[in-house]
Amino acid sequence: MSIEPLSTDVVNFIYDNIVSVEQLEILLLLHGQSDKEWTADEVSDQIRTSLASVRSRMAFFSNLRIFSSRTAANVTFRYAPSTTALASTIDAVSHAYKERRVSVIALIYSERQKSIRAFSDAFRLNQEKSDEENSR
Amino acid sequence: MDGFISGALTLGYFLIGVYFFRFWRDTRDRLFALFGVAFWILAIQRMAIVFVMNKGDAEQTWIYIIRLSAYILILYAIVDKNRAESTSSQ
Amino acid sequence: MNFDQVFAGIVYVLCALTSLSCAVLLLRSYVKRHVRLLLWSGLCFCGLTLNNFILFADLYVFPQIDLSIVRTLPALLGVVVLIVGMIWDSR
Repeated sequence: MSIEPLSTDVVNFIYDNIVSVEQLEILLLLHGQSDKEWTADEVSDQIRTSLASVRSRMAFFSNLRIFSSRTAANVTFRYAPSTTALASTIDAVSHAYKERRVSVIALIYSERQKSIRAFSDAFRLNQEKSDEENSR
Repeated sequence: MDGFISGALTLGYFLIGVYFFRFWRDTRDRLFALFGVAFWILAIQRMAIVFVMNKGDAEQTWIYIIRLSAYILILYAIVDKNRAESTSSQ
Repeated sequence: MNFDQVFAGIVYVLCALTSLSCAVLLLRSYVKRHVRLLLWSGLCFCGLTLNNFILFADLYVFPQIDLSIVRTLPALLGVVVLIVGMIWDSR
């Protein structure tokens, strides 16, 4: 019986972007119903967390071009990753969360790993470039 | 005074190297191993300065070569990290 | 200036630029991500950079003054800051 580690895509995505389970659940909620336009209230009802927190998470994913937002009567958000790479990574994250929930949660909260990773990531020059490419 | 500062620096570089090796143990990221070695080389360089007594001259040739090798290792670690990133984009 | 000294000078400048790059990368990343380890290590590399630059200045710009303590103090400070930071923040 071998436990394979989570794929580097998933690990990188979680290390770079996910700081709490609540945040991940918001992402996966919209990911699960990608045609629906969500208001912050609807998400807050589903996830049972504070509205302010939901709003800031939605804005966060919006800045990452993972959610797109529209302002009609209300501000609504929809799952809309800007690149196919992002989409497949988040699919993998969703899958990993279903199959290996504990591992994913442990990953989110491994603080020391996070700061050590941040050190190593500081020297990733092309991360800046790929950030720029994603936001174009 | 010089000896005190050099001793403190030597120990400091050595300890930082130890921390980097611990980070390497935790993450298996090669960058940390390289930084660890680089800082240990800086520790050795610091010790070497103490044992070569002529403070008036610039360091002897081999001392600044030691310093250079530490920094080349750091540069290599950075290049290696970015090369690995560009080839392993699955 | 003999070849040895010229070569040494180039080496010191290269070392200074390397540590400067590390400091810049780490501190820039700190501003973005607020991870404290990046601050401590960025400051440490600032100290090493100063050490390298002042070393160069000591030998080639102001050879008549002895800057040997002035040049090593920033390095010592940087190293102390990083070690204290790593110990303080570790769990």
